[in-house]
Amino acid sequence: MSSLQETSTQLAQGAVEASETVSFWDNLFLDEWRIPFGDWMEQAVFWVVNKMSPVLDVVAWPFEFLIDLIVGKFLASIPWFWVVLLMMALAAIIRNIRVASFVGVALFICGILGGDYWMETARTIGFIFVAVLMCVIIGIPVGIACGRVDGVWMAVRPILDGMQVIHSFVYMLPFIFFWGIGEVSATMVTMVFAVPPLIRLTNLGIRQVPEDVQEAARAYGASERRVLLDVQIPLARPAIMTGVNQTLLLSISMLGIAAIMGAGGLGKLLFNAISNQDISKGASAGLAFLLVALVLDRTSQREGSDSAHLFRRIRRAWAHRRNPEALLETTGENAGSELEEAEYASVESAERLPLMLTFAGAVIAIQSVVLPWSTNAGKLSSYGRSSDVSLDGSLAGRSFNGMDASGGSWFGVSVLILGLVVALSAVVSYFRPGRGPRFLAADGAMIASVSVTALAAAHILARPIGDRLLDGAPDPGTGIGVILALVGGVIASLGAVRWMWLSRRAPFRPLTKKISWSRLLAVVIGLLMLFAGMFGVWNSDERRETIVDDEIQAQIDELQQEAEEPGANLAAISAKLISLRSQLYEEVTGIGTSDGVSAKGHRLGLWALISGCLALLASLPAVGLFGREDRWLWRWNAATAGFGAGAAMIALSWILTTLRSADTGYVSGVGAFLAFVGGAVIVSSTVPVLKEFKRERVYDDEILDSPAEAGPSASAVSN
Amino acid sequence: MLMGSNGDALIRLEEVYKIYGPQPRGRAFDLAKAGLSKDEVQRRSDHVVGLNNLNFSVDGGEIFVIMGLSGSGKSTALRSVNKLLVTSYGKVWVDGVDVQTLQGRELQAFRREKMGMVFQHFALFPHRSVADNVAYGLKVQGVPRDERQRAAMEALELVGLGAYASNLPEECSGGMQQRVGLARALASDPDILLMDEAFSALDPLIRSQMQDEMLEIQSNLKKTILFITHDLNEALKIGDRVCIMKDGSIDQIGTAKQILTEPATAYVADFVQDVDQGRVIEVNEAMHEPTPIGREMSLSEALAAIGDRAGEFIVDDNGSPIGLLTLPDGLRVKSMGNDNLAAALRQDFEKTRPDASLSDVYVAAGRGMPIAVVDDGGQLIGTLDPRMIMEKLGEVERLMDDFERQVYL
Ligand SMILES: Nc1ncnc2c1ncn2[C@@H]1O[C@H](COP(=O)(O)OP(=O)(O)OP(=O)(O)O)[C@@H](O)[C@H]1O
Ligand SMILES: [Mg+2]
Repeated sequence: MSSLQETSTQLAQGAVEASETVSFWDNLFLDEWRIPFGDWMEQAVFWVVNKMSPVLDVVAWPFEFLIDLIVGKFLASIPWFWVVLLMMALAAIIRNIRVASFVGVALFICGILGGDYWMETARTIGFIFVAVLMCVIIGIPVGIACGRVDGVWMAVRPILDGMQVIHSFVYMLPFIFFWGIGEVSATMVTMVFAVPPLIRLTNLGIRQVPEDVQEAARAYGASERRVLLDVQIPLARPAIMTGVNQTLLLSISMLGIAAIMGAGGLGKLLFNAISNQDISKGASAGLAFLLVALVLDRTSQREGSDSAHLFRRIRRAWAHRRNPEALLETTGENAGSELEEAEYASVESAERLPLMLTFAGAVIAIQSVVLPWSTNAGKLSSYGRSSDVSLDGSLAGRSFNGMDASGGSWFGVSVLILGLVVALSAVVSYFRPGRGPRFLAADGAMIASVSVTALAAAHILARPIGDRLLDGAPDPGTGIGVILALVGGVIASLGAVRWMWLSRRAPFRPLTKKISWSRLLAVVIGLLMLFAGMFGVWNSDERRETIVDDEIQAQIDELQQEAEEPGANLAAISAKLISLRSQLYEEVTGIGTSDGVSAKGHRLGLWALISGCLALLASLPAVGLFGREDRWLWRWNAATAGFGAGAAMIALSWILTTLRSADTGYVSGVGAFLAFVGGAVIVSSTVPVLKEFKRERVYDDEILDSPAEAGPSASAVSN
Repeated sequence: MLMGSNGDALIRLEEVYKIYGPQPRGRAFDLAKAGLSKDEVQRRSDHVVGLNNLNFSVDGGEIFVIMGLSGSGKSTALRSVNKLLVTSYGKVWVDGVDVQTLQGRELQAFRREKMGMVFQHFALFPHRSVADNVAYGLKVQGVPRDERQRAAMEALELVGLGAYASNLPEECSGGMQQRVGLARALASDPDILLMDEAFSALDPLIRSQMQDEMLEIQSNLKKTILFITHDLNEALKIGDRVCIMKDGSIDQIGTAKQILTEPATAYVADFVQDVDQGRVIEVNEAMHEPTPIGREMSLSEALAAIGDRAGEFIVDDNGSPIGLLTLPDGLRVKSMGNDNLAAALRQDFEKTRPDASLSDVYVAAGRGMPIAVVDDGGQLIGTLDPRMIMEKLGEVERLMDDFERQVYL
C-alpha cells in the first residue's frame, strides 16, 4: 500500500514543477543550491581528453618509454639470475659486499618462490626504478630551482603542501581520467606522492650551503653555473640523497595503491590473494614483497645512516612527509628584532576630500541594493526559474530589489559586499590610517569600486535570455537601483583615483626599475582565458519535463482507486504501475547551451572580456612601459586589478546567480568558470606591486634638518 | 695598465654608502646621508649602516691597510671592491671601471682576471682537497689541469703546506686553513689581492714569516694589496698607508707614522695608545746638530762649549767620534783640579744610525748618556740626547692627553 503510494507520488513529482519557495532550513534547499562543480569538471575533462590528447601523450611518453625499457624489455625478459647478479653488482657499488650478499640471497628466495612470483618481483623492481627515476629527473631540478630562486620556491611550496595534504585516492581520479588505468598513471600517482620530500630536501640542501663558501667561488670569477655545480650541489648532496631515500620509501609504500590502479607487480598478487582469501598465494607474495622492499631500501640507504628496520623508516617517512627537513636534524634559528612603534601618516585635508567622495559613492552603491533592480520579471535569473516563467505576465508591474533572487541576485549581493569594502576602506583609513588590514585603503577601495561599476554596467547591458519569456509577458525592465549602483560605482571610482593620487602610501622598498614582462604576460594570459571563456559555455539548459498525457493519467487514477479497495492485489497493481511508468517519456525543454557572446545568451562573457581589455590597457603603464616611478606603477596596478576583478566578479556573480535560482538541469558553464579564473589571474599579476605599498610612517623630521643636534636629544626621545 | 679617467689610483671609492636592511635606499639612507651616526640611524630605522660616505684611493703597487674595531665596516668595504656585495650608493673604481655597474659575464671576467681574495673565515670548499682548493681560481680561468696543479703546489710550498696537498680542509687546523686560503689567493696570481684578516689565526712565528713573504712578493711583483688587520704592529710593518675606520667611514688615512704621531681624532688616538710611538720616530728627528769640541781645547773650554747639553763628542780627522765628554764627567774631573780634556773623555759611548727608530735606542739611552749618530762612513752627523727622546715622545703624549681631556671633560 505504502509502496504504491510512493510510486505514484514519484510519478506525480515528475509532472508537477515545484514552485513553492523552499526555506533555508529545508534539505530541499540544498537541491536548489547545487554547485555544478561536477558538470564543470566533466566538461573540462572531456575537453582536455578530446582536444589535448597530443599533450597528454607527450606527458605520458617518458613514463611509457621508461616502463617499457626497464620493465618490458629488460627486467622481465632477461634470465632471472642476470637480474640477481645485476642487483648484487649495483648494491656492491653503491654500498658494500655485505649488502650485496643480502641482496643476492633475498632475490634468490623471491625467485625460487616460483616463476609467477619472479615475474612480478622483476616488475615491481622495475616499477619502483621508474618511479624513483622520474622523481629524481623532475624533483632534483625543481628543488635546485627552488633553492636558488625565492620566487620559484614561493610558487612551488603551496603546490607541494597541496600534494601532501590531498589523499592519493583523490588525485588518482584525474590521472585515471586522462591516462586510463595502468602502469603509466600508477607511476604518475606514485610520483606525485613521493616527489615532494625530494624537492623540499633538495631546496633545503641548496639553501644550507654556507654563504661564504659560495662567495669564495664567486670571488674567483666562477659563473653561476659553476657555483651550482662546484659548490652548491656537492654540499647539498647529503640532503639530496636523504631525499632520494625518502622518495624510495614512499614509492614502496605506494605499491598497494599502484596495484589498485592496475600497475601489476607483487602488489597485484597480494591484492588478488587477499580478495580471494588465498592464504598460500598471499603468504608467498607477501614474503616476496617484503624482500623486495628490503633490497631496494638497503641498496639506497646512505652509508652510516641509521639502521632502524624498514617499517619504522617508512613510518617515519610518512610522518615527515610535510617536513622532511626535520630528518636532517638541523636547527635554524631566526631571531626577530623588535622595532620601535612608529606613527603612520595621518589623513590630511587634501586626502580627506577624495576619501569622502569615495565613501559617498560607496553609500550610494550600498543604498541601491534595496531599490528595484528589475521590474516585471527577473532579468538574469528569470529564465533559469520555471517558477518565474510559468507565472507569465503575473509578475508584470512587480519589481525586485538588488538582492532578490529575481532581481539583482548575486550581482546585487556582490555590489553590496564590494560597496561595504569601499566604505570600510574609507572609514578605516580615516580613523586608523595604516593600522587596519592592508587592503582596506585607497588601492583596495579603487579595486572594489571599479568592480562595482563593472558589475552594475554588466547587469544593465546584459540581455534576458530565451524566448519563453516573451509569451505575453512584458520584458523585464531595468530598475532605478542598478542605475544608482552604476552611478555610485563611478563616483566611488573617481574618488578613489583622486584618493590614490593624494594618499600617503609608499613602497616598502624601492620597486625594481625594470619593465616587468612576466606580469604583462600574466595579464595577457588572463585576457586569453577571458576570451576563451567568452566562447565557452556560460549556461547550459538541459531541463526536462516528464510528459504525462491524459490517457496515462486516467489509468493511474484508476489503478489508485483499485488499490484503495479492500483485498486488492497490491503486487499486480504495482507491476502495472511500473509498466505504465516505462511508457512515460521525458522531453527536453531546455534550449541547450549558449556561450558568453552570441545573441542567444545574455552576453555577460563579452562584458567580462571588455573589462579584461581595459585591464590590459591599464596594465601597459602598470608594468612600467611608460615610466617607472613607484607611485605611478601603484596607481595603474590598482586600475588593472580593478578591471580584472570586475571581469572575475561578473563571471562569479553569474555562477552564483544561477546556483541560487535555477531549476535542476540549468547550470552555468565552464566558460564562466574560465572567465572567473582569467579575471583572478589578472588581479594576481598586480599583487607583487600592490602589496609593497604601506601607509607612510612619520618621524619627527627635525632630525634630518639638524643632524648636529640630533645625537643627544634624539636618544633622549627614544629612551 | 689602464688607468682610466680617475687619476693614478688603481682602486678608488667615492662616497660609498652601504645600508643593510630591506630598504637600503629608504629613510635609513637619507638619515645616514644627512650625517647621523650609525647607532642613531639604526635606532631610528632598524637598518644597519655598513659604510657611511667612505672615500679612499689606493695606488697601484701599494699595500693599503684597513684597521678599525669590530663592526666598523672593514669587510664591507673590502667586499664592495669585487662586488661581493652591492653598495647602496657611490662609485667603486677599479682600474678605470666602476665595479658596481658590472654584471654577469663581465663581472665574472673582471674577478677572474684582477682579483684574489682571502676570507676572514677561510671559506674553503669542504669537499675538495687542499690542492684543489688552491687551484680553484686557475680552474675557473680554464688553466689545464697539470699546470694548475703545479701552480697550486708552488703556492702551497710558499705557505709551508706542501705536505697537506691531498688532505681535506677539515683535517687542517685553523691556522693551516688560513694558509690554504692564502695560497688559494696567491696561486691565481692576480694584480689585486683583497686580504680580510689574512693572518689573524696564525701563530706569531708563522705570522711574521708570512708578513715577510708578502712583502717580498709585493716588492717583486708589484701587487696591489688591500689588507685588513686588527694588529697595529702588523699594519705598521707591512702597510704603506693605513686607514682607521669607525662606524663605516674613515677617521684617518696616512702613513703608519702619521697615524701614530699625529692622530687626527680621539678615536684614532685611543686606537694607537698602546703602541710605542718610538717605533715610528726616527733618530734623526730627535737628534741635534753636533758641535764637536776640538781636541786641543782645555776641559774648561770644552765644558763651556757644551753649555747646558748633556755632552758632546770629539771627532778624529775623518769626522768619526772617538770620545765623549759628558757634563757630569767634566765637572767631576774639574772638581779634582784637573783641566785636561783627555782625562774626562770616555770611550764606551753608544752609536746609532740616523734612520734607526727611537725604540731601537731605548736600551742605549737608558744609560743616560748622549748617543753618537753616525752615517754610513762612520762620520758623526748628530748627537742624540736621551732627554730629547723623552721630549719627542712627550709631544705625542700631550697630543693624546688633549684628546682625552676632550673626551672626558
Ligand atoms: N649581511 C649583513 N646583514 C646585516 N648587517 C650586516 C651584514 N654584514 C655586516 N653587517 C653589519 O655591517 C657592519 C660592518 O660589518 P663588517 O663585517 O664590515 O665589520 P668588520 O669591520 O669587518 O668587523 P670584524 O672585524 O668583526 O670582521 C656591522 O655593524 C654589521 O652588523
Ligand atoms: Mg670583517
